Amino acid sequence: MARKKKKKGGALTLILLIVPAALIVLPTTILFGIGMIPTIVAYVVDRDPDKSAPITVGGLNFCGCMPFAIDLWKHQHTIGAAAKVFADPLSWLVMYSAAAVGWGIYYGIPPMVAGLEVTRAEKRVEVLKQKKVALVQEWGPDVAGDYFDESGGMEPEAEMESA
Amino acid sequence: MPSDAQTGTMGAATAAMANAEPVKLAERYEIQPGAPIPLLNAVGGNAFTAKALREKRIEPFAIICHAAVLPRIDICSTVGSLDNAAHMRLLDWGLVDWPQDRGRRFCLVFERPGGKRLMGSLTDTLDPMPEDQLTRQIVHPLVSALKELSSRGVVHGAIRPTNLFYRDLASGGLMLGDCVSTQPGYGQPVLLETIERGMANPAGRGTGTMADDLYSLGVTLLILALGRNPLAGLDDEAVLQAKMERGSYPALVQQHRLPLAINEVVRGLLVDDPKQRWTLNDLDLWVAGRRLSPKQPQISRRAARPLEFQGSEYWHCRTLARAFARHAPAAASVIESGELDKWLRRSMGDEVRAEAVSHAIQTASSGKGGSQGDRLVARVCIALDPAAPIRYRGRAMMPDGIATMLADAFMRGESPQAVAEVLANQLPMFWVNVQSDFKPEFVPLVQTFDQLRGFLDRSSHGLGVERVLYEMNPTMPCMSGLVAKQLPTTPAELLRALDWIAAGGERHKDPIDRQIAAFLGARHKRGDELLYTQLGSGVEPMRRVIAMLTILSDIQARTGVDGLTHLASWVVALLDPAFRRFHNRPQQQEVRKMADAAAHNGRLTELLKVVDDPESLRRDRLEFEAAQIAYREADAEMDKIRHTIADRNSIIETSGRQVAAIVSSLLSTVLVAGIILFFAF
Repeated sequence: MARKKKKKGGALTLILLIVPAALIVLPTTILFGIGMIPTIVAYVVDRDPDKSAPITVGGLNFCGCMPFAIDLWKHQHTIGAAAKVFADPLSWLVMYSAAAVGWGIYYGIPPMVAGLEVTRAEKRVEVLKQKKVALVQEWGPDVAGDYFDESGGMEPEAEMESA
Repeated sequence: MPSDAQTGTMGAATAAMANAEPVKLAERYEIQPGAPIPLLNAVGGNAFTAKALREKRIEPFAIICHAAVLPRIDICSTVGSLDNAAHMRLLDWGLVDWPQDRGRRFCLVFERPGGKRLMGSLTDTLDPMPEDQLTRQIVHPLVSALKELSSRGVVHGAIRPTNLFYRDLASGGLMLGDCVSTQPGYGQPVLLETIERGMANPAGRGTGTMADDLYSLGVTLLILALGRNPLAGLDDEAVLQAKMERGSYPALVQQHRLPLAINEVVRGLLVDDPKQRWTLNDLDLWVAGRRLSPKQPQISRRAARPLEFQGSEYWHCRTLARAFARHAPAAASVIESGELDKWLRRSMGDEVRAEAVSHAIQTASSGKGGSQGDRLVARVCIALDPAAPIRYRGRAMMPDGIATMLADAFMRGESPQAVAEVLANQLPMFWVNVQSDFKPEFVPLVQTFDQLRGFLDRSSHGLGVERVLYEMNPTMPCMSGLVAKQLPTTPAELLRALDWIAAGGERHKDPIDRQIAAFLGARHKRGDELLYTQLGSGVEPMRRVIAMLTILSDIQARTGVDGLTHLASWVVALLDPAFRRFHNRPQQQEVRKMADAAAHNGRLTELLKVVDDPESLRRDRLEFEAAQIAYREADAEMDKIRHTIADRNSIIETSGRQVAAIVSSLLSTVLVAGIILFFAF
C-alpha cells in the first residue's frame, strides 16, 4: 500500500512537472510523443521490473528523433513544422528504424551474452574438474571422502590415529 | 624315556652327514659331523670327534644336543670352572651350525676320557666290585666331586653307573660324566631316582637337591657292589611299586649280602626320608673311617582296613594317591561320596591327613582351566601324599620341575595346556601349603608362581603360557616356528635369526608371532610392554606392523646388532599400511624410497623414523585437511556453476537484458553527442 502511494505520488509529481513543460514546448513534445511510440510500446509490453526494454529501445529511438528535434529548434518551433516532419516518410523511417535497431539490440545481445557466460562457466568448470583430479592424484580418493567433519576437527578415530 | 645309546648304527641321517664339512665352535674347536663316537653318546645328545684349534694338547670330543632337549646352559660356566679330576671336564659350550637339520644345535665340548664307560647299560653285568675298590675308585673321587659341586650350588642329577668313565686306562680311576646335556634327572632311570622323583615325568623332576644325588650314588654303589641291577627284570612301574611298598633299601638289596662297610653306606644313602638320608658330611665321616649307626627304614602308616578302588585294595595313602592320579574320574566320585574321608578317619586314623584332604576338597573349586574333577583329584592326591610330585591330567611334576616340564612340552611340540593349568589352578601353592616341613626356598617359589599366574590370566601377545615358558626357563631358546632351528637364546641372536630367515625368502608371516613376543617380553625387559598388546590379529594392520618395527628397532638399538638388511626388507614389505598413512601420494613415494634406503642399510631405527615421524604425519594430515576443504569448495563451486548455466533463459533475462540496455545506452550517448555536433553547429 505504501509503495502504491509512493508510486502514485511520483507519477503525480511527474505529471505536475512534465505536463507544464510539455505544454511550453508543445511542438517538441508532439515530435517526441509520436516519434517515440515504439519506446512507449516497449514500456507497456515489458513486464521486467527493471524495464530494460524501454531503456534499450528508448535510447536509440531518442537518437532517431533527435535530428528532427534539432531541426525544429533551429528553424521553426511550431506545430506546423512538427507536422511537416511527420509528413515526410523518411522522418518516420529514421525514427522507427532507430527504434528497430534498439529492438534488435534488445533481442540480439542477451543470447550472445548468455552464450558467452555459459562458455566462460564451462571453462571454469573444466578448471575446477582439473583441480579436483589433481587433488585426487596428489592425495588419493580419500580427499573426496567425508571423514573431515563440519566442525573442522577430526573424527575421534582419526584423532587417535594422529595421536 | 631316553636311555644311553651305546651301539653305533649308522642311520640314514648319519650317512648323509658322513661327508659334511667340519663345524666350528667360536674358532676354538672344530667338530666333525662325519665322525660320530657312539660310545660317548649322552642322553641329551650324540658324541662327535672334535679338534682343539688352540690348545693342541687337549683331546676333546663334542656332544651335539638333540633338538628336543634343553641342556643346562645356566650351569655351564660353573661346571666349566670345576677343577676336579673326578668330573668330566667341560671345555667349551655354545651354539654351532649343524648340517644335519640345517639349523643350529647346542654343543658341549668335553675333554675325552682315556677309558671307556664303566657300564654300557643297566642290563649289563660285570664282576662285583670289592669293597676297597668301590671305596677307592667310586666313593672317594665322587665325594670330592660332589663336595665341589655342592659348594657351587650345583646338583649333578645324572649319577648312574652308565655315566661313569675311566679317566685313563692305566690308573683305573673313575670320573663322573656329563651333567649339562639334559636337565637333572631327565636321563635317570627310575631305579636311580628317589621314590618321589621317580613318580615324576623325566622332564618334571626338577633340579632336586644334593640328597637326591646321594640317593643315586647309593643305588650306583649297590649295582657296582652286586655287579648287576638287582631289579633288572622289573619295569619302571614295578620298581616304583616295590620301593613304595617296602622302602628303597629293602626293595633293592632284597636278600643280597653286601660287604659290611658298603652295606652301611648303601643303607644310609637309600633312606627314603631325605632328612634321615646320609649327607655329604656323613659320607665324608664314613670315608674318614667313622662308622655311623645304621639307619632304620621308616615304615609308612598302614590302614586297618583297605580302601577298595578300581578292583584293587589300598592300604597306604601314597599308593592310593598314585591310583587316584591314574583314574581321576573314578577317584573324583570316591572323593565326593565321602568314602575317602571315612577311610582316612576310621581305617587310617589319620586326622591330620583327613583335614588336609577336606581342605583340598573345599579349595578345589577355586582355579581356572581343566575340569572340576581333575582339579579335585590333583589337590586330594597332594594332600594324601605331600612329598610326591604334583599330578594332574596324566602328568607328574615336582614344583621345581614345572619349568622344565613346560619347556619339554614346547620342545617336543606337545600341548602345554596341562602344565599351564597346574599353574592356573594354584597347585604349586597348595603343594607348598601341605608340606609338613617349611623350607626357605618355598617363599620365592610361591612368589614366582603367583607372578606367573598373572601372565597366564592374559592371553595377548607377549603374555600367556608362552611368556610363562620364557620367564621360568632363563636359558630357553625362542621356540617360534620361524626361528626354532636357529635356537636364539638372546634378543640379539633372535634378530640375527630373523634376518637369516628373511634372507631365505621366508617372509610369508609377521616377523613377531606369539612365541617371539613372549620371548622378547621375558628377555628384553626394557621394552614397552604395551607395544605387545598391539600385535594381536584383531589390531589394525598398520598399528601392528608399527608396533613390530618399534619393538625390533628398540632391540637393535640396545643390542647394537647391525646389518639386518633382510629383516629390514621383510618389515618394509609389511609396511604398506604404514606408508598409506601418508595421504600425499608423492610424499608416500618419497617415504617408500627412504624406507627402502634405510632397509638397504639394515637400520630398523632409521626405518622407524621414516615411517613413524610424528612431525611429517602431522604436516601431512593438516595439508590433507586443507586439500579436502579445497576439494569440497571446488565441488560446491562446480555445482553452483552447473546450476546457473542450466537455466539459460535466466541469464538472458538478467545479465543479457542488462548488457543490452548498457550497450544501447552507450550507443545512444555517443549518437546523441554526434547528432548534436553534426546538426546543431
